[in-house]
Amino acid sequence: MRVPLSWLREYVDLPATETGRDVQAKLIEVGLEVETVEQLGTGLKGPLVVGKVLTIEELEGFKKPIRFCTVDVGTANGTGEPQEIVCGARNFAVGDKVVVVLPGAVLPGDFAIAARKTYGKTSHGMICSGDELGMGDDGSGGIIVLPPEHEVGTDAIELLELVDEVLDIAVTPDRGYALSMRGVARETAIAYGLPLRDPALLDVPAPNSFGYPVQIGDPLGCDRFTARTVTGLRPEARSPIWLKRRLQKAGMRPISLTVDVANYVMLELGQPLHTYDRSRIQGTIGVRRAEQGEKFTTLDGVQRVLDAEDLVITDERGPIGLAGVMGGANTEIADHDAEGGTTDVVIEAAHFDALSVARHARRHKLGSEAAKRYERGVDPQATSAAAQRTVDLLVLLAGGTAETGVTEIIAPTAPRTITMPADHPDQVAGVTYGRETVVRRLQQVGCDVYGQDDLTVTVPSWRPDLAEPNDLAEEVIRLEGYENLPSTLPKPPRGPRPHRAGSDCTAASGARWPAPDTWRR
Amino acid sequence: MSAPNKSYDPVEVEALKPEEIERMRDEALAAFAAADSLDALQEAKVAHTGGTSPLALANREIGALPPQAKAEAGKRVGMARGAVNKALAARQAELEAERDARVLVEEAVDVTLPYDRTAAGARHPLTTLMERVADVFVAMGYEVAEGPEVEAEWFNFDALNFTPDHPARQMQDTFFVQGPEGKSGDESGVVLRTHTSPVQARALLERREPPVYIVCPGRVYRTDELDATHTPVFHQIELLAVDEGLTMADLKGTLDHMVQALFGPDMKTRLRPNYFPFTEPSAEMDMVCYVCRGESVGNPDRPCRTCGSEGWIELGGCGMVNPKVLTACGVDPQKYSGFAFGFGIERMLMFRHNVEDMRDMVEGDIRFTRPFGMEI
Repeated sequence: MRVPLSWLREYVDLPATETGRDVQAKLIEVGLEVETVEQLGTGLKGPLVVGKVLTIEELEGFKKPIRFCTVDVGTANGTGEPQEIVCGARNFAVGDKVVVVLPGAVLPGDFAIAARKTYGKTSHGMICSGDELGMGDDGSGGIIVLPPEHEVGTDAIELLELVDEVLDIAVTPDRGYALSMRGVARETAIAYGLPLRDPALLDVPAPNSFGYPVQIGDPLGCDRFTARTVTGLRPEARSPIWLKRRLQKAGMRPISLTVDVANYVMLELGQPLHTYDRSRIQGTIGVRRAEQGEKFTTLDGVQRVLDAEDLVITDERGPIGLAGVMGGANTEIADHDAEGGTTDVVIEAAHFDALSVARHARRHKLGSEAAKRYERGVDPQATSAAAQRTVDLLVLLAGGTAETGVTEIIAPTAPRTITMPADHPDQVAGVTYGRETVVRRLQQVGCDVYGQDDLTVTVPSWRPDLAEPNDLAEEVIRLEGYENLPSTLPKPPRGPRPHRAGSDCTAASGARWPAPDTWRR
Repeated sequence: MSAPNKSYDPVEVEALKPEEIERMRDEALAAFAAADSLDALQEAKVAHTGGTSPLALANREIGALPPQAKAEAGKRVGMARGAVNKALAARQAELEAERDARVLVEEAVDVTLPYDRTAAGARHPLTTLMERVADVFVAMGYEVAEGPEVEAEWFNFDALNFTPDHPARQMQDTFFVQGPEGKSGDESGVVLRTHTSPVQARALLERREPPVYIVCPGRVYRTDELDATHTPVFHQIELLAVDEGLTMADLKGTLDHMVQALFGPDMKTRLRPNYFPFTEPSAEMDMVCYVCRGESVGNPDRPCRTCGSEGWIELGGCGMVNPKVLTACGVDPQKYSGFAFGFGIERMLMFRHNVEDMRDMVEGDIRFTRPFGMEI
């Protein structure tokens, strides 16, 4: 899980002076393995500004097409005159807003920019691609073309959030909740003793009977399904820069607004989502096991022969998705370049059985970000909040309208409780924490705790890994700090005993071992 | 030597009679000629030329003679002694020549004969290191336990709380062994063990009732490609303690004791939360870098190759034995608790002895083994 520090700060008020390395050390202490802290924009120095392409002159007679451009950069160049720049990219036109680096600037990789003669002209700077700015692939295949609303001369270092730190966390299989900003933020808040702004705490409308119809045929495979509908999306709407940048920093490629929003909400809340083009679904959405040998073409264009154990999402024609792994080509969101484009979407936020997803993801060799999360355990109670967040973003960014219908199918489940003696963590650790500390730590991770000498602990929905008293002991001990454990030695009841035959003697008499002893048995 | 006796009447001194001198000389010459070894010659030499030999005694008497007789007697004795010494030297040379000739034959060295002395040997350093680690625990009262390398899947995974579909089961890529009825790979239920941890389960089941304190060194297999830092066949050492009232503090203390025994008295360990199915709570264990002792951290002038200037060296995994594992092995988790840890021997050999390439350990070249000798 890649966690941009700037994004993390949205949920926890970290002191402004805390660096990525500081946060790394804190998170390692509470048990999140932060492997690296990537420094974005190290050595980057402006001027790097928004410019508007005024003229393009195609230069002839070179091996590759070259353009001589004039770009309005406002007063960023000190004169207000158009900036003359030679450029080899072709994915922009007159009037486009681009990112211009001016002489005197330094790009990542110690790349100093100066006016220089090239292709018979003098280029006073450069029109930048995402790669040159260390942003990663933005899917544009060339230089960055910005949405038209950005003012000429605006500082692009800030606009593109080029300077940041990204924590890369290796999440162990038991802690699926940490595959989300929400989960990492929770751990960060605990580690710093600061309050958490939980992004899943949203006002969610109550379910009603006029949402998109859904029928669950296999409640064990799918115990929760939220469906929401947003209509009137502008097909030409594009993801804003902040959204793209967060996806990029988290290691995902921006694709289209609807897909980007779904991915963004997944990264934020840990709940995988799928969006269907409503005009392409027919009838009730269902969840069932596939029929042996049933055929289905996934989004990647591959036709798959399904197994009777596969869990599929269907409409009245047949499968439209492999649950929690990949959608079908038949209901894919259409890009606005294609005919018409998608204007109405149905959002699926569902909770699937971890084992079913793990098995069919492996069977069809389809590892996806969604499958990775389902396998490790997704918070089943996050579906409504995740659907709401997706609705909100689509309304905000694509001008859609949220339909009032809210479908929510919930298989009844009892909250999971664990009972243990209040001093169980003390017994495991060999430290006297005391009941008060134990209760406080368990509450911090989201548990409800009752009782005095014997505690009844209700574990939070996002922690399926907490099932036994020792799991709770681990939570207390790790938050109190493994580093604070004392060092004591147990006394085995028996004394030392000889345990080895005479290979030392044989070596003393000259034998040499080309391989360890175990190899010769 | 007595002073000349002027009043001494020139008398015949028995010992200085010419025939007497001649006899003494001839006896000496005969004795030398009869000596058939250097030792015998030495005896004859002492007898006939030493301070108490007849000629030496006769020589002493010369002083007692009147002056006119002294010269004659002196000349006689001198000539006799000269002849004796000459004969002695000649016989000496003769016998030495004989001896040398004999020694040359008797003690001749045939350099083409097979070498009959042995140089000091060397055990493979992985074995020595494994035993060294085991010794630390044996000295504390632990027992050495072993298990089979071709292991039942149940011991390797299920007993250790790996559920059939658990993602952790994919974290380790496993060699599956074809079953007896030709059942292919993953149906046979038999694997090459991927860690020494199945020995934990075996030890608990075999011993029936705690306390159990065991250390299990052994060879394990994973489907890694052989490269400088990976090998598909490698060695681990596993520790398991199950008893009443064992705590994580005991685990920490045992680890501290181990690194101090292996790396020196000031060493310490650090635990970081982690996840393993067979321990709960689980931890990753690090030891302070025994070379830089953490001083290379943030100190670019003194980088440390051993720990990569991290200050800590990652050792392996550890934790409190998951009560589910105890239950699976017939031990009552209400009554007993335990801790376990395991780590790779190859890795320890690498950082402990600056071995840069793991392949050197497995290629079977004794030139790699030799410098390690018998101790590590």
